[in-house]
Amino acid sequence: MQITPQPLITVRDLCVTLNEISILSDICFELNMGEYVGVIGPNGGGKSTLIKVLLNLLPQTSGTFHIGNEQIPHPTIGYVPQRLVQNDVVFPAIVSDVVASGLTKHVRRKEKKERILAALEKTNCTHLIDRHMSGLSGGERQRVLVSRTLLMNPHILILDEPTAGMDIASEQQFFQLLKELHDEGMTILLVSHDIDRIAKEVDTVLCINHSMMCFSGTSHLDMSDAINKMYGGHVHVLHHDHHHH
Amino acid sequence: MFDFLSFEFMQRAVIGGTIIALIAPWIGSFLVVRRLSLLSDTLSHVSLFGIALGLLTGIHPLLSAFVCALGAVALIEYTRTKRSVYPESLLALLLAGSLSLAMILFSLSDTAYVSIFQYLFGSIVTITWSDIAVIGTTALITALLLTRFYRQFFLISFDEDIAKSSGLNVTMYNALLLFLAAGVISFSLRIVGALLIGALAIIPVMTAVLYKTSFKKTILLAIGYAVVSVWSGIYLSYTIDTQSGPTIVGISILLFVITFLYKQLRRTHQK
Repeated sequence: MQITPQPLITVRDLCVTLNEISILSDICFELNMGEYVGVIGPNGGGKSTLIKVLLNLLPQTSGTFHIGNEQIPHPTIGYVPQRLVQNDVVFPAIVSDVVASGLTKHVRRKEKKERILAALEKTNCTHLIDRHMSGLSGGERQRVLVSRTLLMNPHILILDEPTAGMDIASEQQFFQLLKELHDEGMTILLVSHDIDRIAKEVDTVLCINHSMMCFSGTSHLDMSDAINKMYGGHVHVLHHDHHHH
Repeated sequence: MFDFLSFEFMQRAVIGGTIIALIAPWIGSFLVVRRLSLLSDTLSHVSLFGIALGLLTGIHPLLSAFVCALGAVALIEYTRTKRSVYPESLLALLLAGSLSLAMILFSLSDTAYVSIFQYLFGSIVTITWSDIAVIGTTALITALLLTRFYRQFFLISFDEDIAKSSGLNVTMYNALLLFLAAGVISFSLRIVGALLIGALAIIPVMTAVLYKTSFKKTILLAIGYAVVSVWSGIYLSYTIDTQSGPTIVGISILLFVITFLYKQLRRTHQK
């Protein structure tokens, strides 16, 4: 008998209202272990707010969400923001400082170095270890931030518009990295405005527009329909064979 | 050259100054990267108000300075999280307000008025052994906590959202950092003065940031610059007979300008 997997994230009737404006209303979805989910929608539609609520950075007005299941009651979440709160142009840190900040407890210097190197190797950033953060390109910086989360051994990786402002080659490389992590079993929740790219990469798509969830699923035909309604135009989501297992 | 060290008051000046040079830029590093450079100046002026209050009411001035600095820290943190006013405008308000109130209180008390210059500009050569014991203990506790919670302080300084999402109690670590800053600043006041403690916590860090190196190396470089400024400032003030505090700050600004120009020149040559 096959055991039905319990979802790792369960969101029920989630509403967020800020200054009497509805940012999110009645959002419901589940994220299963090992699933790769993309949240898409126009800017200002509420995508980033959803992530902020899940990360406890913003309170919800009503509704519930639960992160964890019987197998993993308190999953570790790795978060990669769109941009850093600090202006990292002047922040005095090198790549190894930032990656090391992902460690959750004190470890010996030798083990720390080994773990930093292993995390950077995974994201193809070993050569950047001693580089100053201000000297990195957008793509390099995002890969370094992913390396940081890898030191936490996360169960879930949450990324907010991680490829915004990247050139095509860097974007390609970044999605390849996420694909590799997903292949190894990582549960990923990704927010992006890049519909076609997301449709190509992820298992499931959630569309959020005008604070409401207008589509959730894997069918590309339905997705095209939902997106056309969302953007009021004729967008064709191309069907890509993303089932790489 | 070192004959000035044969005087005991000079030995105390060097020891007291060195302790402050070790701890002020260390805590200052976290303030600079969190865009709270003005905080150290604000806290020093609020402490000055605390001292004036202490002198007038008979409470130990250092204690009242520390309590006032803590009150200011609580107010700053509260308004920062509530986002009701621009944080830097509140700092400016507290800075001007506390300095004005301090001056009024100082002028109300005839005996206290004499002390105003000492607390404004410090008096490194009149440091007593008990002053050294107070700042030494404060520095030791601060250094231990900054070392123990280095990772947490780094993370809340690097990105508060990442820190929160990693499960850190950002409010608590913020409060602890500001508490330590309030302690270091209010207890250093009698030695380096209200106008100068802020400078010693911030300028060496600004110089170190120019090196674009790791966070720990930046802290070490800042401490190095502060120690050089204090030692050469004391020596110079002794030889050319100037006020020690302003001489120390003057040297630290000079070191910043030299380092800045050197880095600019090197960058131009590399292009």
